[in-house]
Amino acid sequence: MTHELVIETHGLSRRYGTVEAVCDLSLTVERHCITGFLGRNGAGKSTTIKMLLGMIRPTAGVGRVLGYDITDPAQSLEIRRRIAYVGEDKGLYGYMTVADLIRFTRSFYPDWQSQIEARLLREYQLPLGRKVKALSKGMRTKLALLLALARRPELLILDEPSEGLDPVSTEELLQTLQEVRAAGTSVFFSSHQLSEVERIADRVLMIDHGQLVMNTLLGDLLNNYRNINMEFAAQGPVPALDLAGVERTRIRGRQAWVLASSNIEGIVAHARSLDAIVQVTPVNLRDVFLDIVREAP
Amino acid sequence: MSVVTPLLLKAWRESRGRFLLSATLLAAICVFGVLCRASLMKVLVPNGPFVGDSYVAYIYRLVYGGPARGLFTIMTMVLALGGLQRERLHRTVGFTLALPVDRARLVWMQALLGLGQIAVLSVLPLLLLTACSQLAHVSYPLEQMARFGLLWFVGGAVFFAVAFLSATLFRSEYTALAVSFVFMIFYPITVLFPPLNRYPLNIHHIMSGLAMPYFDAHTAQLVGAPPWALLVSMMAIAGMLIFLAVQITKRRDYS
Amino acid sequence: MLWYKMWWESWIRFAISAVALLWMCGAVVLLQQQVRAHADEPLSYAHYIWSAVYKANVLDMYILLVIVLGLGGVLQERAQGTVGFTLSLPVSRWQLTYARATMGFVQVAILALLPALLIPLLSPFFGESFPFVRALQFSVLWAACGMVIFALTFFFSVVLPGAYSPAIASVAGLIVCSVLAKLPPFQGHSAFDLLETIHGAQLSTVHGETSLAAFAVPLPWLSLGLYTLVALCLVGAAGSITAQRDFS
Repeated sequence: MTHELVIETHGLSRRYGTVEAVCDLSLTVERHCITGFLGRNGAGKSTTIKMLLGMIRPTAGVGRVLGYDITDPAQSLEIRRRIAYVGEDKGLYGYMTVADLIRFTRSFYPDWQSQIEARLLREYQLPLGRKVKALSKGMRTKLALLLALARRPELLILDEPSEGLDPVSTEELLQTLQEVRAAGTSVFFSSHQLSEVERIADRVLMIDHGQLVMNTLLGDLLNNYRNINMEFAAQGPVPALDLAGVERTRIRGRQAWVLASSNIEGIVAHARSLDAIVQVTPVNLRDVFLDIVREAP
Repeated sequence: MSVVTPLLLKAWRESRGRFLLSATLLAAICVFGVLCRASLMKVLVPNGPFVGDSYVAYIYRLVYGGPARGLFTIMTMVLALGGLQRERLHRTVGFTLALPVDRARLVWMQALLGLGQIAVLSVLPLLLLTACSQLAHVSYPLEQMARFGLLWFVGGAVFFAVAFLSATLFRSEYTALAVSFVFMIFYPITVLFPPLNRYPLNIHHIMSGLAMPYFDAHTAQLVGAPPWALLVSMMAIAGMLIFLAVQITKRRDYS
Repeated sequence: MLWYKMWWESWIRFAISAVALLWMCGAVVLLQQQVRAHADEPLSYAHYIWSAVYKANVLDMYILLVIVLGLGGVLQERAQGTVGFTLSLPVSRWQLTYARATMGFVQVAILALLPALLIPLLSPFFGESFPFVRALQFSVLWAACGMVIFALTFFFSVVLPGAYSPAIASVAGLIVCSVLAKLPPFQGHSAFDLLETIHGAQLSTVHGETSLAAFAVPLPWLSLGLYTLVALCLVGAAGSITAQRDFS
C-alpha cells in the first residue's frame, strides 16, 4: 500500500461571522483507504467537505485534493472530474427520471463505465422511468451511488451516506464502499454512526468544534488505546497526569478517567505509585469518540 | 456529447413549465385578439386618435403596445428566475456544483437558454398574427411585426438580465421576483429624473415605440431605420448585468 | 402560532412591497411639477395623482406585488421539503389555508392604505394638497380588488406546480378578465371589469369638498362586495383542493 495522499489540508479555516465552523484544520487522507470522518452534528464535517469540493471558500489555510488546489477554480474543476461526491441530503433533480439523470450525468464524464452502470442498475433495481422525486430515500441513495461509481472516481467523498437509511440499505451501502475500495477507489466519508465507521474504516479522523482532535488508524486505536480508571484514596487534589500517551483526562472527585494511546504500563505504574486503585479496559470507537467530544464535567 | 447540451437541457427542464405557459398565454391573446377583433376594436381603437388601417392600430393597442407587451415583460422576468440560489432551496446545489463544470459556464448556459426563450416569445406574435390574420382575411405588415419583435427581444433581454441578477443576489425566490417587479415599474419613473430624462432610457417605450422618434403614433407603426445604436446599447447593458451575475455566482459560497 | 409562520414566510416580500410603494408614491409627488409642465394639456394635481398613482404606475406595482404576496403555500413547501413538518402540525389543512389567506388579506389591505397615508401628508411640502378622504376611498378600492388578485394567485399556487407559474397565470388571468369584460354580454356591467373598478375613474372626476360624511357615496359597493365574495370563494376552492390532495 502506497501512502500517497488524496486529501491534504493545512490550517484550513472557515468563519461565519463570529462562528468558527472550521478552525485551523490540518488533515491528510491516504490513497486506497476508507477514511471515516467523525464528529458531532455541527462539528464542521460538512463545511470541510464543501470546502474540499469548492462549494465554500476557506477564510484561511490551504487544501489539496488529488494534488489540486481547492481554492483555484480551474484546479477545483479538475478535482470534480476525478472524484465523486454524494451529499448528505442526496439532492438530485426531482423533475428528471432515473434514466434522464443517468444520461445527464454521463455526459460530463468521458470515462463513464457503462458496464458498471448496467450492473448497478441491475443490483439496485432502480426503475429507469420513474421520476427521481418519486423515489424512496434508500432508492435515491442507491441512484446517487450509481452516478458516483459509474464514473470510476479516484476518490469517493460521501457526506453522512447512511443518513435516513434502513438497516438493510445501510448494510448494502457499507458493502458497496468496501467493494469500491477493493477496486482501487479511495473513500472519504463523514458520519456520526460509529458502528458503521468501526466496521469499514481503515483510518479515523475526528473533528470537534472545527478542529481535528484525532487522526489514527482504526486498528491502532482498537489495539493500543485503553481506558484507565483510577480511584485515589488519599485526600487532597488529584495529581497531574500529564504523562506520555495520555490523550484525555477527566477528573471527578477522587476519580480520574484517562484515555491513553500508548505507555499504558507507565501510566498504570505512575497511578499506583500515587496509591490509586487502577482498572484498565479495552476501548471501542464509541468510547473514544464520547471521551473526546464530550465536554469535561 | 459536449457538456453544453446537457446544461442547456437542464436549464430547459427547469424553466420549460414557465416558458410553455408564457407561450400559450401570449399565443392565446394573439389568436383571441384576431378572432374577437370585431368586438374589441370598438373598445381598443375608438374613432379619433389613429389614422389609416384600424386593424393595424388595433393590433398595436392589443399586442405590441398593449397588454400582450406587458405580459411579455413580466414573462421575461419570470423566465430569468431560478438558478443556483433556487437549487440551494431545493437542496440540489451540492449535486450541481459537484459536476465537473465551472460555475461560469453553468450560469451562462442558463442565461443563453433564457435569451433563446425570449427570442421565441418575441417572434411568436409574428408567426401567429400572420397565420390568424390570413385566416381572418385581414393583414398586418410583416415588416412591422419583425421590427417590433426585435424591439421586444432587446427590451426583454434587459428585463431578463435584471431579474437574472436579482435571482443571483437574493436567496428567496419570491424576493427576487418582487425586486424584479419593483424595478420594472420603478425604473420608468427613475428615468424621468434629470439628467436621465435627456436620454431615451424607458425600456417600455423602447419596446412599444411610444414617444420614440422611430414610431408614428397616428398610424401606430414603426417608421424610419431601427434604432440600432440604442438596441446595441441595451444589449450591452443586458450582457453586463448577466456578466455581473456570473461573477457573483463564481465568488459565492453555496453551503 | 400559525400566524407567526405565515408572517415569517411573507414578511420580506411585504416589507419590500411597502417600501417600494412608499418610494413610488414619494417619487410621483416629487416629480409632479416636472411631469405636469410637460403634459399635453393642463393637468390638475388631483388628476395627476390619479393618473400616476391610482391609474398607472403605482397601481401596476401594487397589483404585481399583491401577486407576489399570493405565491407560496403547501405545494411549494413540498418542493422545499418542509411539507412533512407542516402537515404533521396539529392543525387542519383548512386552518393552514385560512391563516395564510387572512395574513395575505391583511397585508394587501395595509399596502392599499399606504398611498392614502403618504400622499396627503407629502403633498403640502410641494405646495399642493390631496384630500385624505379621497385617498382613503381609493384605498378601499385597492384593498377589495387586491383581495381578488391575491386570492387568484393563492388559488393558482395551489393548482399549478412550480414557484413562478402561478404568477404568470395570475397576470394572464387579470388580462383575460379585463378583455372579457369589454366583450358582450359583460360589456356595460362595470362590476365585471376589475381593472376598471380599481382605477376608480369615477372618483377622479368627483368634485367638491370630500368629507367623511360623503366617504361612502361614490364607492361601488356592489362591485366591491362581489369581489370580496369572489376572493373568499377562490380561497375556499384552494382550501378544498389542499384538504383533498396527497402530499407524498
